[in-house]
Amino acid sequence: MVNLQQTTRGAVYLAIFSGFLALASVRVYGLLMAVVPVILIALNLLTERWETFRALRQFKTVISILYAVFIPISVVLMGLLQAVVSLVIFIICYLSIGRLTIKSSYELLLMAFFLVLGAVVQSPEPLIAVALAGLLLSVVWSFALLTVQADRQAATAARPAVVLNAQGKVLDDIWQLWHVLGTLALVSVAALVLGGVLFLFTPRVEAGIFGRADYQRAITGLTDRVRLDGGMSIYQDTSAVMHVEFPEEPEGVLIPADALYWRVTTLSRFDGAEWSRYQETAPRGELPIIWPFAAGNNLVQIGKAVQRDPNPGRRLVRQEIFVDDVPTGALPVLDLVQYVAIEGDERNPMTVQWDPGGDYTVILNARGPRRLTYQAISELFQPDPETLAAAGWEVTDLSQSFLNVLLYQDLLESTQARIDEVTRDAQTPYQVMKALVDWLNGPDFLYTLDLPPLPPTHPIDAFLTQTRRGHCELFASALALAARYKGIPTRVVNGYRGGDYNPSEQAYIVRANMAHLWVEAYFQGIGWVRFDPSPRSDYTATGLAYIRQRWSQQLLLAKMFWYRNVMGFQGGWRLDTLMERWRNEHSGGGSKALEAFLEFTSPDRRSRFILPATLIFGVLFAGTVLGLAWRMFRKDHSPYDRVMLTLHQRHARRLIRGLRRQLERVGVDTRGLTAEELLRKAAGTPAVDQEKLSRLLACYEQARFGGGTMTFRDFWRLRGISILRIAERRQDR
Amino acid sequence: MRYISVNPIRAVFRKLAGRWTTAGLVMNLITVLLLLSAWNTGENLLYIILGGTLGLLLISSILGRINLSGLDLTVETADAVHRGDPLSAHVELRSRRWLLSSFSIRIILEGDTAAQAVAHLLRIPPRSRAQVDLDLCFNRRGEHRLINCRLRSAFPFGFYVREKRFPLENSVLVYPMVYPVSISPFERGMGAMVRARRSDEDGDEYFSLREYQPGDDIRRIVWRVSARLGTLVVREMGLGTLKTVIILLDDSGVRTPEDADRFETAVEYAASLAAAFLHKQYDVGTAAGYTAGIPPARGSFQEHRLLEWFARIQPAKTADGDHLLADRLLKLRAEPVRILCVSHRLNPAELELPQSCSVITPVEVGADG
Amino acid sequence: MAVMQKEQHTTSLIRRLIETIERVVYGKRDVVERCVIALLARGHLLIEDVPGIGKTTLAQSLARSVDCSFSRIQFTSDMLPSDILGVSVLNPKTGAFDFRKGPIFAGIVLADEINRTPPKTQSALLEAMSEGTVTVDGVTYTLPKPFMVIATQNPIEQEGTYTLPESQLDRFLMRVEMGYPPEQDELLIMRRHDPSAVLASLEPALTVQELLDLQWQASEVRVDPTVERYILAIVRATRTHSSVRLGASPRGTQGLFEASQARALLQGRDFVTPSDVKDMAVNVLGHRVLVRGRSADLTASARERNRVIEDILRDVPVPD
Repeated sequence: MVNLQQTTRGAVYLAIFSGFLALASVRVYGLLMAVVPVILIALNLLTERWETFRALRQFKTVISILYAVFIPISVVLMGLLQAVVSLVIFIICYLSIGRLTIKSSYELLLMAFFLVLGAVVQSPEPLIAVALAGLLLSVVWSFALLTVQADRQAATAARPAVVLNAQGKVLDDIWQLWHVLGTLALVSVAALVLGGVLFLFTPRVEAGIFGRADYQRAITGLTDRVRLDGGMSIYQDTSAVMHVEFPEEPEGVLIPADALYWRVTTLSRFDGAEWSRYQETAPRGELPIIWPFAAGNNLVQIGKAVQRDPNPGRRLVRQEIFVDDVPTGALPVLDLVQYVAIEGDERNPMTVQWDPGGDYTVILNARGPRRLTYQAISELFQPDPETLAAAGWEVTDLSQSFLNVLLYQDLLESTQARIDEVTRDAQTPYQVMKALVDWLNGPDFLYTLDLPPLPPTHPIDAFLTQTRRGHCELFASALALAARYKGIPTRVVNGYRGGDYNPSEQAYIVRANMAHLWVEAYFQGIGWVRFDPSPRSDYTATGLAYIRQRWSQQLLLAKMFWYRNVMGFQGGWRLDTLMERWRNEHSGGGSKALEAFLEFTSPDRRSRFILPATLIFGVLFAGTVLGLAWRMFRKDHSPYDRVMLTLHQRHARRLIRGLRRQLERVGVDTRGLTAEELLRKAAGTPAVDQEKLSRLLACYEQARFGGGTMTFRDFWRLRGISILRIAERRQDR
Repeated sequence: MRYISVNPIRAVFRKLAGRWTTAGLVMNLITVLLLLSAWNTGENLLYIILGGTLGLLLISSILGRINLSGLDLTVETADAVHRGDPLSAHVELRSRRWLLSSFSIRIILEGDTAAQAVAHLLRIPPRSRAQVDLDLCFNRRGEHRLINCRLRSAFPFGFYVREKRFPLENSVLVYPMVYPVSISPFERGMGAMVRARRSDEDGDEYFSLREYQPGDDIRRIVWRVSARLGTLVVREMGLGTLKTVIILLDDSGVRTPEDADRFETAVEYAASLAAAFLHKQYDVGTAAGYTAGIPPARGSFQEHRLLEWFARIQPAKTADGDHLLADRLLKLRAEPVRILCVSHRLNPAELELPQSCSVITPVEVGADG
Repeated sequence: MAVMQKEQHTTSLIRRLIETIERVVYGKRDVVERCVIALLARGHLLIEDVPGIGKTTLAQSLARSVDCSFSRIQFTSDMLPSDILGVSVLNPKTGAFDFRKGPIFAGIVLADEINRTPPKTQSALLEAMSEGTVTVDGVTYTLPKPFMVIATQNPIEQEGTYTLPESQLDRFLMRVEMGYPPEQDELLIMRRHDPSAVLASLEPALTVQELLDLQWQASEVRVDPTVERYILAIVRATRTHSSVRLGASPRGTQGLFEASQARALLQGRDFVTPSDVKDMAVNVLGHRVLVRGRSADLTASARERNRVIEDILRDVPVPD
């Protein structure tokens, strides 16, 4: 039964939920925020009737005084923005206790709006789109229904108005209410559409008078250090992190498929337990060159695009990449990057530059969110085995200090003996590497994510000689150390391997669980050559993991759409030229102090999705509480319940009550209607049914008022008749 | 005289007035702030929110304007009502539109002297009628008017309240409150003043017996006496007791507001007295110093005429009307009527009425209740 | 089995009665049924309607259908109580006074335009109605059984009328309005050649004994305690409604009770259902409540009262 007050309450609840959902879309708060409104809504439903208790009002006064005292502390503890957000949350909690009056509903809507604003300035995830839509809908409904309620309360007439349609038929109150709700639904749609249209066509300008918002620094999956005893948890994480298209390849498919190595960070330094970066210093203005380049390099070092002259004779592959969260190490690009250009966005000050460490990786500098779409061109470097086999042991291209780093290893003698044994037939460095790779790929070793515990010192020795089971980190480290032992300068490389091809888009999706560690060895005169000792993993997602995989793919695409076309929307009528002129006239000054002020935001915190179990439990708990509250405060029963009835009379009564409920569900007002009138309302036109219904009526009346009988079987049979009637009537409507 | 006075008012609306509500002002403020900050930062999210608020304001203005258009109003009221009883006004709203419904309209009926009634209409579909009954209370007797019927709506969002005004021409006569009074103290002294007269007509008090004459109504034959006497004897009825009363109302000498209040009390008492006599099948008429009175008659129609007279009578402001009352009384004494004088004065001696006329004053009224 | 037979017999009797009346009164099934209900409930009926609508025809055909004596009293403004009750007349031969019974001594009495006569005469009629006896010159005479008064009021005219005071209206079980006949039936009425002949040829459908039997059966119709509470709730609600100055009295409760029983019998049942109560409520209670505000016209005041009763019927919960 639709009820004006309950619908209004529902709309206000939606507003509260949207506000908190907006907060939940900010990484800092996390999705736990979305549970808070459920608790508040339950609280409101419970304390609805307790408004008159003095204790409740005193309680509210006490907590508001306490919070007022807490406010300055909160500013110091959390920062101004967070203090304001928490104040708004407190006000919402305060208003949720007790009954929702018209005034407090308006206030709650305003507070929800503030929450959304608070989320908007903290670079939220695309989830904010849902929160915005929810808030708009709830605003439309709440305002309209609150207006109707206020008008209704102002009425002094004792009897309600009677509305007759053009044919003179009196219109049901319930029918009227449905019309109101239907109109509101249409208005909501119109509001959403109109909002979108206005968004597209509002004249835009970017004044920047009060500075620009500072964003959170995001922490990404790949790190600059790899510890050998810590497992990489993202192995199991099938969330999509990269979306890659190869516009120049046929059907977007890269051939060969095993060329899908995405380099991110090179880790050259090994200290016995951990791999880390090594920065080679070089004179200013120059890059420490490791690879041979044609003389007179054309190098663009930093800016919106970087490039170097391509080496001749190598295959160039163009890529178009979207990364949701660029690692701090470098932009993931296919093997040897030659050119990277990031898509222009005048507002977000991002630049790329060649890694000064001489890796030939490209670093992204951004103060805002590290989402990016970029174009890249890579050289596919596949030296042929003969050239490689010809390379000698002497390496003169690299500096001595670098070489020392690249050759350091701490393998035990037993391990070394084993390595010698494996590579006894190899003479050239390439043959050594090949022997080692074959050995690690062979039946002696097992690639698994279940790691047996490794000793804290010499873990690779244990891996190589005892356990011989492990994941890519161990394999790569083992290969690198073994090669180093044999005198080949090697290092490990952090990045992604592989990608899922999606034929409908002709694009690849790279997932978090494709993070990989492999090895690069330096060959004199050739350069760094890739070796990957880990066998290909057989991990395929099944069941729930598969669903999550598909879901994260869709999410990634949705996020791409959001960031490219909505957040990055550059359309509308731009009035920027005016602003530019103004800014040029008043350049400098003022914004520095403001920037410092805006740095006042909270520290970085990684948010993780809470286990579904907690959420399910929370929902169940809330549902139980709500259900109990509903039962407690249900409307009164009829005044005739005190009369004692026989069993037959009870059956008859159940029959008619069921009919009444069915009619009310269809929207008919059944107040003050006798059984005969109810059945007439439920009747259809065919004569056959009339007869059945009059029989039903006669049975009911005889049993209920005339001392007749109605056994349970009779009841069940008659019930069937009445249900049938209602179903047909519903179709008519 | 009928209950429903058919006074249909067509939509003669003058102006669609309106004002912003608090919510509307806040919305405007938010929109302006959003616009400024969006222009400042260029943040597309703020533009989205701005689009939303602008959209809401636009929808509010369009729908609000449409909501009150195409509505016609008819107001029917009773012609008359007693003071203190609510006047039932039947308002019918008709929608001339073809497509859209009107929602959440407040119907405000205004009478003079600040009488007001408000009804709420949730929805009126296109080409439909809505009927509602409103009760207006008037606190003073006399002629009153219904001034306006306003339609007020804040639909859709309550940002802006619009109003449409329909001037009305309904007039209502408010009768004085009539309460039960006991007339037995007056009945007792009824026969004393005037000589009884014989009449063939309706008096129902036994007067005398006489012989049957051809043409007499045989229902009047007194059978018992005729049997005793041996001849037919008829009963002659006469005006044994006077069944005609004239209520003389003192309508002069009202100078101060206290006098006016007492005058009102006096009028109500006089009206109640008249009603009581009428219900006891007396012929009742009225007279006053300045205003012309109503000749005596009986029946429910006469009751209406008297109530109307009592409703409309206004006191004369001048001071020299005192003697007019006495003149009137002298004229009336020639008729076979019983005269009851009701006055508001504290000192009835001012009126210089003959001794035999009983004057009822406010003090006594208070005692009577 | 015997019960069923008896029921069928009752129903057929009542059907026959109604059909007999309808041979003369066209297109008024609803009003005829209510008349019969009033008859079965031993109550009196008040018909308010414009002249020429067939009130007299209805009363006459009712009387002839139950084989009762019928008398018609046309009220005027100079009527005396003796014109109704009767008068003692000297009998010159015996020297004693014989009481000539007035027109009230009949089975079915049609009191036409009861609002034309002064209250003294009205009260004479009404007291006789409620007591069932007439006392003249110290001697009490009982009225015949069955005894039913059908009174009429003309709602339109105002001049020289004495509106029946509300306290006296209580004595009537029901108040009905007849209304104009439907088009088909008016056509038939128009074509009818000699209405009085049809009336004269009417054969009684019930004997007096059968009628008394039916009346007794009506009083024996079973009323469930829940339905009793419903009746009570309705009547009590008339006393607390916002538009009502004075609600229905316990006589009204009784009236509603008896009328519901009679209606149930009419429908062929031996128990009362809430539908019966609801159907009868407006007719039985409408004229017993006093609403606020003034209305000079009978029709308007009736409309107002009926609206109040309908309001109440909507608000009072119906027993399931």
